[in-house]
Amino acid sequence: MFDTSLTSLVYLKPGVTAQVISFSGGRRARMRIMQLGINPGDKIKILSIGPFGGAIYIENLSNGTRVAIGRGIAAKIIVKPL
Amino acid sequence: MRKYGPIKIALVGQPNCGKSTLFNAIVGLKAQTSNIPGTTVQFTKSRMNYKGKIFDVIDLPGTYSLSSQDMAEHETLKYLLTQDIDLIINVMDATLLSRSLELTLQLIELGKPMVIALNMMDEAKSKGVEIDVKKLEKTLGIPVIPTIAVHGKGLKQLFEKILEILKSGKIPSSYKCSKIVEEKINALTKAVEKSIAGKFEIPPRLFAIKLLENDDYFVNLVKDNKEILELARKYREELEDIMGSPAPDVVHGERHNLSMKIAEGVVKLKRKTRKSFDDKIDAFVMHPIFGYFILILVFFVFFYLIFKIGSPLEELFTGPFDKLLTILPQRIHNQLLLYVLDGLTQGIAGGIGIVLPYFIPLVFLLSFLEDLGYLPRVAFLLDGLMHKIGLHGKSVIPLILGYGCSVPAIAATRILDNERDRVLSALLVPLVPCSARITVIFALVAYFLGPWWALFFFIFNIFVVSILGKILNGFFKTPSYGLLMEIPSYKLPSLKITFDKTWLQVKNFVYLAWPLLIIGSVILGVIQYMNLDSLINTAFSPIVHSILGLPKEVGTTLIFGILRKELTLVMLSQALGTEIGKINTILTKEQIVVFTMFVMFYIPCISTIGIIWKEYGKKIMLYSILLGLSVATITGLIFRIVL
Repeated sequence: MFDTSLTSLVYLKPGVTAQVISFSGGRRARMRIMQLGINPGDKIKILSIGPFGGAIYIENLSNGTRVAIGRGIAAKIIVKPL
Repeated sequence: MRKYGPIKIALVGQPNCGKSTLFNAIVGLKAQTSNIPGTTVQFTKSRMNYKGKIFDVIDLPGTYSLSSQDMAEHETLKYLLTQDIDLIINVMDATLLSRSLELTLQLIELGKPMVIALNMMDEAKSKGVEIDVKKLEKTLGIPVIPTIAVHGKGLKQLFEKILEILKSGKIPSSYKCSKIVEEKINALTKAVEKSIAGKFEIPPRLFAIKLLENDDYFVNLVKDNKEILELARKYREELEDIMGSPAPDVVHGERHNLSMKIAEGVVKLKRKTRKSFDDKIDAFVMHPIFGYFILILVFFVFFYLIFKIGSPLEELFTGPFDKLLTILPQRIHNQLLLYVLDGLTQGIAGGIGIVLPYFIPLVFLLSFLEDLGYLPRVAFLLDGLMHKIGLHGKSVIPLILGYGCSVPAIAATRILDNERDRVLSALLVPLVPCSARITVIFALVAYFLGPWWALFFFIFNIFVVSILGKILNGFFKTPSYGLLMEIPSYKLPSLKITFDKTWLQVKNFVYLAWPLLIIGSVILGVIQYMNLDSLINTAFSPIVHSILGLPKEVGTTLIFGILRKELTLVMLSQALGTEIGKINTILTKEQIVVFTMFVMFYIPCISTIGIIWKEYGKKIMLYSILLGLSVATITGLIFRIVL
């Protein structure tokens, strides 16, 4: 079944919380995201979105990590809005 | 314990865990620390004595994992795998326990005696996180010492424990994965033991785990061993088939889950996190509109303060020297001695009167901003704009550090994830005016033409750097990988550490650059006495005189400027035969603008050339010199025509 509630991190608005489902990027980017403390299953919150196609600032509510993710990588993070 | 030689202790931790602060506290020496992920780009070593034992403490660049995603992490990994270390101090961030544990679990596999410094306990407490240290110790089988590095707390206990562990030689035991993964690890470990164990100092189990993760570094080590590579590939595929996701993710996932489980078992969240201090500030600082107002305000205040502090001091200090310079010719009648004394005075005056008044506030404010945690936020705010010039937000950090000194700024390009970003940033960094060139801008442009002109210089500089970024970007085929960086929490910089850092840089200036300044100034005096300067000036006159329309005498100053940028200013007054305060009687305002424009961009100083060569090789170094020289000449010419 195709889960229509799934979307990409880039489509979320500031203030929204979501659950990380999976990463579809290459191995390096994937490993990096996980090393920074963002793992599938974690609950994240969008704190701010940079203008001019800038990065997305998120907080991982599960462990307190805060990360800025560029649009290119964020597009490959599949999330489920809560 | 080692019988001969100092005991080698490596400090390892994730970026921003307070590792360098702990290192400083331990050795009482001032290494560079800051609130930027990955500022310790090269490792620092210091020798110390505790209870009659000699220790070499090594501060390794922060790493999230035992794998190399950037140059700084590569250094750490290589060091840990190839150097004969006696003990590892794993510095953990108590506020991010679960994520810190993911590194700890990997360090265990190195098979070395280990002690954990559980740092930032005070911050954890204020966030409502309470950690059961005894239980953590028991679960991991590694001694855990709570520390607050900024206040130097827990150091004595840490070293007592280190002595105890060194004596017993206790090595922590590996963690166990889930059954399926464990089977693969064990099978591969056996194969590694059989075929390659003798060739490397690396523990076979760690080797096996990293091969299952398909880690570039380890795979590269055995690239000639088809048999092992093939076996690792086969196991990875089997894991992927069973677990349903790629093997590297599975292996990482094992560590992640175990870390979460350990953290859950030892952390008590005392109160539900209310809206934190960081959130309140970030609501403005990271806001898509307000954030930019704050950014502009911060940098405006930054440069304004430097000018406000520097210019009265410049006036105060140069006054007496200027007087001395007018008295000298009346008293001294030996021409050679007069030239030498004149050069000597100019050199001393240049240090006290011009460089230090601007240099000290600049270095102080920059390290304050660094430690506060503001720079990664600037990286976030400017990410979108940086993409327009082919870079991403993270490159902002070396560029901003460039306002201090190009040398650490070039070193900081190591925090960037890929080669193209690093090369592009390294080419742009020397074009950003460093503290020495900012001094020239302030002492010439702001002093004679007013602060708004100085502001124009900074804005124009950013404009030129962006255009060049855009142009250079065209030479690289691969697009940028994008921003991915941790935003650390704000830390109120400890004034002591900020002062210490400022002092370290000032000391470097006083002991290294200032003597050069004085010697250079004296040499120039002698050159002038012997009339050799006209030779150099004639050689440079095509650029200096014909293109830029400056007096021929300026030629010699530019030669010295390559040694140290501060020299340009002192040499300028020396060459023109006047005090700095009176340069405007010889150079017109237009010429001051053209000269400063040229100095702002032209050839990087000798130390910068050196580090570019070391980090990027001869070719990039030559490009950098050519780039600086051509940009300087073109912008100088433009301003000569326009004004």
